[in-house]
Amino acid sequence: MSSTSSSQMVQLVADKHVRYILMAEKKKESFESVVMDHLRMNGAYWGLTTLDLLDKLGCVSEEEVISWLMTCQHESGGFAGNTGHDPHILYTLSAVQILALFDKINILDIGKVSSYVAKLQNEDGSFSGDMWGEIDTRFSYIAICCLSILKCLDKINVEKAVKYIVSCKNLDGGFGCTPGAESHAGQIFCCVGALAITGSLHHVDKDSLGWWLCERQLKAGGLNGRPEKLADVCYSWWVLSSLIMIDRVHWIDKAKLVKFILDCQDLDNGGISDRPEDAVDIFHTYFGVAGLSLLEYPGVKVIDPAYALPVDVVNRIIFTK
Amino acid sequence: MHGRGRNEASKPEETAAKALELRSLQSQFMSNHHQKIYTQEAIQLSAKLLGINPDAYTAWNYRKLALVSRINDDSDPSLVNSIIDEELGVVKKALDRNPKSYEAWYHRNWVLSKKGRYYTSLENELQLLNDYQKQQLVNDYQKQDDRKHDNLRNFHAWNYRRFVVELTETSAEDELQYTNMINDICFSIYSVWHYRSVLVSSLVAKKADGFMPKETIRRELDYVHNAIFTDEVKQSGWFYYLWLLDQTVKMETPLRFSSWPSDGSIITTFCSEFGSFPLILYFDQAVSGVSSSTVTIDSELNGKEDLVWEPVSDNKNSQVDSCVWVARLKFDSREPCFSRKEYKVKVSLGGIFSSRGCNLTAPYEFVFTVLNTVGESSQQGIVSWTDGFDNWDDAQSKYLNSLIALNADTGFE
Repeated sequence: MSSTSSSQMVQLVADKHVRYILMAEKKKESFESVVMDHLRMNGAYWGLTTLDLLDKLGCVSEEEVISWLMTCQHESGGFAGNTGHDPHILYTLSAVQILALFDKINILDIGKVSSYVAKLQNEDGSFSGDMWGEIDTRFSYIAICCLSILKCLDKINVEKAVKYIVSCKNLDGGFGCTPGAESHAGQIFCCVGALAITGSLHHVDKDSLGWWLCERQLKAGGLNGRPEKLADVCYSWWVLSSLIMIDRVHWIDKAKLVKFILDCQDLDNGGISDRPEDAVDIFHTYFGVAGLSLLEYPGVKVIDPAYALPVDVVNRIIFTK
Repeated sequence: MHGRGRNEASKPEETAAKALELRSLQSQFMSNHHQKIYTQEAIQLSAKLLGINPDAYTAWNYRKLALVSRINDDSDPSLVNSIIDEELGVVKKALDRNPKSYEAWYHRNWVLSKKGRYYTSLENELQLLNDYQKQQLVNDYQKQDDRKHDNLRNFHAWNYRRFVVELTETSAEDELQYTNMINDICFSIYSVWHYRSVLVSSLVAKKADGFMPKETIRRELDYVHNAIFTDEVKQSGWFYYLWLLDQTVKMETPLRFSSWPSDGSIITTFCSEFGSFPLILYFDQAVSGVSSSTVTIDSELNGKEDLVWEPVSDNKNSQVDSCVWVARLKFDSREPCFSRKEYKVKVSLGGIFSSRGCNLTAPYEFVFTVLNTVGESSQQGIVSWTDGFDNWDDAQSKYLNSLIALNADTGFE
């Protein structure tokens, strides 16, 4: 990405996004916020990771975040989306990732959390989201990513987990949520990420998948998640990180994608939306900034495509006991 | 979170009131949930909450707990049916609000997988799904014409469909007909082409009537041509076309194989008076049907006993397809026929097919020699099957040594 810019080229308004995230945290009683109450743990992960990518994690009170986070832990070891809600693997990963950002994984009873996740593995290698049994390759990725961060991958049957993921591979080279389900960029990210973390990328047909993924780029430069759908900033993450993990990112036009993401910013109030002129939210703000990180946009820290955490955080995890 | 205009702000007083109502519902619900209260009133409250916020996953968990508390295996069937109806009604309202709610779709799946066999209206479920998928959206905010088929693009509905198809034991042939019907409505729904590829593959793999590989691929190629000519700009048909072409290329490729021992090789048996060694066939595609009727051994060694061929795979079932097949060829130097030093073994293959329909283009055979050297030392130029590389001749050893030297220089492991 060249550093020369014409007066017409939009830039990343990082400070506005930081302010947007910090303000959103305070607007807890808006309708939009109340409706998302149950997934506050995910929202916190999206907001905090974005802040860290923009090197502004210090703007939040670590103590406040962590003390709230711990109220979300269930006696089973799993974490809920918010205080009082039921535990689920989705929020357990976000909780672990947030603690990783603050370098505070050590406050966890790692045995308890990892057992909660490991017990969700089924006989065929798949993972359920919680005790109610929904199966989806999203949960395979979450379990593998979470246990890898906690250094407890040996608590699950990795071989069977990989076998199940491979059984979800489709004839177009992509992956779905269960065997037979159609390819979708989000599921592809989850499956490719899980295979990357377990050293099993040789199962991926990189050329077929790479082609299916690069075909997600539309004329305006944005990416969609499946054929015939509209472009959406969140696919700048799901598609892009997948392409990077299979060494095919040069198959898309990076400059055009950068322009699409920048055009989705609310230049006045901060935040990024799914597509230009739509309402902004934390979810798309995170994926827009994360996408720009993968595209090596200046001023944004490098993010790991498999762990979805800044690389310095991942290095800290890998290189300490 | 998706598709809302930036300046579509509602009046602040309205949103504040809505937020307060939802907050109050949520608190009451949480209280009921933590105290395990499953009265009619409490259950209806959870339904109200889910109607406003279909993604409130804890409320779906609560409803599952409530169902389990109200019915068990001995419950009156009419009670079970009415409760199932109630749950499916809540799911429908939730899906009207958010057709992409993972939790709502899963709840429907969970209720029917728990109690589906008691449900008298189960056969309606597929029809309901058909109606849902074919429904054309005419809401004002559907700005683009092709968004009217968005129900057909809803992958949750297709996943749920596969669950219902399995539950009702609907045939793959019937489902293929359904994809024909959908394609008549709109040719550019990727989900349909994907489903079609799964159905066609499974019918070919099962060797169903009318689904032999070559005829199926040719028929599908004709079919997809229609889609491409109707709307060549849309991608979906093209991806299916690419997949069909790939299958065609794979089918036209002849099946190839190699063996151990290979054609013209010499095997030395010198360690024991009797024993066996493996006969290995390796194919470049997974095949089935390797047995003593398709692989014949012509040798005095084998005697009258048929060889037992086993696939090398996780699945020990001999019907499974595998690229590698192994049998053990026995020898016994105490047998009168084993008095000679040298035996030729001729192996002939025929009638073996891969799952793609490829076969060996002609009967194939290979011949190797077995040398009996009980008590004697080995000779030069012979590959010993017991000792690995020790008995390679000088030329072969020099080559191997130079390879090892190369590794040391470059530091490769």
